[in-house]
Amino acid sequence: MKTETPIVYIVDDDEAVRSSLRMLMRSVGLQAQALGSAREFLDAYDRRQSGCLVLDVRMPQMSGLELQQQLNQRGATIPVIFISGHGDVPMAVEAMQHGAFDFLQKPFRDQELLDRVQRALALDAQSRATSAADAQILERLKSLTPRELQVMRLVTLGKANKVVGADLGVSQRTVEIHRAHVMEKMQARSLAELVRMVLDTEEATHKP
Amino acid sequence: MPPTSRKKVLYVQPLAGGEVERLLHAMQAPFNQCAGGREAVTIAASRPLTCVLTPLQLADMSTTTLIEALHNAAPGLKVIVIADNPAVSEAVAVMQAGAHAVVDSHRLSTGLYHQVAPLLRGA
Repeated sequence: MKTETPIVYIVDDDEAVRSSLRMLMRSVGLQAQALGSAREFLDAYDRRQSGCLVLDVRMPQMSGLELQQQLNQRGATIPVIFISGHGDVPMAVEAMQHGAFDFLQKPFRDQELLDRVQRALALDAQSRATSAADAQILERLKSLTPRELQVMRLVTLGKANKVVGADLGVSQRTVEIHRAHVMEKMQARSLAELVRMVLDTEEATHKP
Repeated sequence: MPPTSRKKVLYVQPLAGGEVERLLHAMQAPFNQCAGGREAVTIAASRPLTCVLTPLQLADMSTTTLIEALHNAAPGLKVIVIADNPAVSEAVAVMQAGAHAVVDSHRLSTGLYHQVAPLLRGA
């Protein structure tokens, strides 16, 4: 179930570790959910839910690294903090190469983990806000007519209305009208803002 | 493609020279050497490279500064850090700074092969 409050998911097959970490998160006012296996997490996780994942590397059945791969395949962007009592450099490198937010060796100080969790939550909030803003701009783009899209592309390339008119075989006045509609529909207050929106959406649609 | 036109691995001394060279030869990886971080950045800015191999400790700059400078000079360039028995926390810090991989010098042959060979195939 999705809530507005971010959740710190804790996945570890050791019940004592799960309980102590859940208590640690709650002690600083964070909402935490502890799960005993990767499978349990996959069943419980809703990718619309903001938060981060504190994940043990070594677990029976599906390891933490395998769970990370599953999440990557599903396009889940939840920041993952690995914790490991047996972590070595190749394992940490592999986790980081696959996009882990951090990799922490047990035993660690409570504050070390809390600092990382707070940073991971901030990152998740930021990337969700960016995605939401990109989605909003894409929605606005969909509201443009084909002609307005053409005009927008040309004006954001820096072409003057007169040149755009010549390119499209319409009058300068017609271009001005389309341009005004584009600015209104895109909720852009200036050409610079419109250009930024176009660049942001291009970047967002080219993300892997 | 003749070997001379292939992109090269840039290997920053003072790595444990002989062994790295032997391994790069064994992988048929064309490579250049340079004396330190500054020279590596200059070279990376002037020609395409497969990757840069660098020690964790450099005389003229920190590894994180080097990685940042290399990425500014050649966006997307892979930087592989070779370290002598690194701690996991050191490896993670270097990865967070943008390194492609960290290889333990005590496992150089498997580490380099594992990290460099795929890059050579894509070069």
